[in-house]
Amino acid sequence: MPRHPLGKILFLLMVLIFLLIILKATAKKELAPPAKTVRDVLAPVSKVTMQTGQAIRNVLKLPVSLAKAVKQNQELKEKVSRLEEQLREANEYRLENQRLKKLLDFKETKTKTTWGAVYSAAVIGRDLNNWFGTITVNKGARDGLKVNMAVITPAGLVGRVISVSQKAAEVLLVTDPRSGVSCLVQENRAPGLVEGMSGNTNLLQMIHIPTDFKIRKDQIVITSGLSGLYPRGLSVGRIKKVTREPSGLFFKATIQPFVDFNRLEEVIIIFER
Amino acid sequence: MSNFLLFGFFAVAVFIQSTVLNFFQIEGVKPDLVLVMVIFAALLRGYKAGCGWGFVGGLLEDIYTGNFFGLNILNKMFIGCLVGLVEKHFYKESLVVVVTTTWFASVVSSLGQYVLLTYAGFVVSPSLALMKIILLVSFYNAITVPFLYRWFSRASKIYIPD
Repeated sequence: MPRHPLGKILFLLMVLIFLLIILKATAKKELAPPAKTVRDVLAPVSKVTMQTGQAIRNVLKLPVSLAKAVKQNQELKEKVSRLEEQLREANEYRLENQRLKKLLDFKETKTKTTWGAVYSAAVIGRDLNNWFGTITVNKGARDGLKVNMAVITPAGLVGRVISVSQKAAEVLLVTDPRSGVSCLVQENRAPGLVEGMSGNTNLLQMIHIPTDFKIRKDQIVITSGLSGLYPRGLSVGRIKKVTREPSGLFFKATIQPFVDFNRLEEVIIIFER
Repeated sequence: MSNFLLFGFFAVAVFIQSTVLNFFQIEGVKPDLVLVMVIFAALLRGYKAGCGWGFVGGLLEDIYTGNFFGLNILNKMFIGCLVGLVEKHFYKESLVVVVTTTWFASVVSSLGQYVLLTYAGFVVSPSLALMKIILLVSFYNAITVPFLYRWFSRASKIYIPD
């Protein structure tokens, strides 16, 4: 390093500019090779550490969990009876649908909502920063994972694979501002783009919803399958609030996702569509 | 404490931050252990150590993360240098002073990260960033100080009266 004060300042300025250029260049790129190696080496240890952390949290939360369990039990009983009623109703619709299809001689076609294979993976890490919404899973290229595969849980859409190493893969959550998913409001098929707001908030926003659709609270949002990245019909979340975009031409809705992104432990990766 | 051991602490902090700490989030936010350790190093060892360990801590984070390379190096190094520059004016034996310094340095660090991320094209609404990330992380970092500072300073073999 230069000894003259001016030389030192110039040297530091050069380092600063170099790092700013690198920062911009690596913003949207795939995982750098050293990071892939580190992730592969640490993958088995990460899994054990995550399990230990989970066990510690469970022990600490035990008294609170017991108190909640009694209340939850009552709520679940009520919910089961409601769902049984809905199931009976749904069966009626299914039978009616079959009858009508026969009547119309409807030919079954394979839609984009069907997928060939799914694989479960454990979450073994999260991004260090609170700004981003990414997780690391314990399956990688050797298990057949590829970039852009959709990731879900039984509750709904989680995100997509953005980077793969041999033993691990990085998943971009839909809550990350870098994520964008083409979606529909299930009830009236209103289209829009679902974006993340920030990595740590369990909220999404659906933008560019045409104003000729009636959008209201509690409507369900699903994937449209238009982008080709995500299968059609995956549950995303429920509309919480509707406002007009600043331009006035579209609606914007805040969405509460069905998946609790802060408590993700296992995910399902869709292999083939 | 040897530099080798301190490097080990930083590496462990990076690992813990990406794994175990996810189970102890408050409102979806976890503390920035590496930043807290950079602040401690700067407070206890001065300007040069602050800059140096800020660079090392940031580099470890950037290697682990793999994208937005430079974000943590620039940010942690800046905070390490800043705290190191003013540490002589502080009564470092007082926990209140260390907690306040950590809180303030965390606010500056998070604001710096926000500016750098915006520059790199990662856009988060300013109100959301302030209310849901910057203030929460700073608060969480500050409350980790009573648990970590004495341990860190003892490990650094710097005597602090009870």
